[in-house]
Amino acid sequence: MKREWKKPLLEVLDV
Amino acid sequence: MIENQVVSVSQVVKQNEGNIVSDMDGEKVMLSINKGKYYNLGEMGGEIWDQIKEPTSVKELIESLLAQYDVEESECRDQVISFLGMLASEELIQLS
Repeated sequence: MKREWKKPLLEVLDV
Repeated sequence: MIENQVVSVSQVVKQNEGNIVSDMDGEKVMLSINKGKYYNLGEMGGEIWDQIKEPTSVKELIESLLAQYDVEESECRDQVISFLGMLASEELIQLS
């Protein structure tokens, strides 16, 4: 059973 | 907005050093010492990050993900290449 794919994203966190 | 460096499937990719990575509720969060910035790689980005600890060709990376995830090859390839391009633009990975 394959896992669900989600689009990989790179988010810059405002810290 | 993160710019996107051009990446091809024939390249080899590897994590850059100088990043502190932590798992937070299933997502990977990273502090780049060099950039002084925090990033959220999310769940899938974290999975990809783990797979490029050692030098890995982009082609091998995509094949590995295709074996694990329910996704079309073209969709996986395009999205992984785009993601790697963002990592490269932020100098989080090395491409050769």
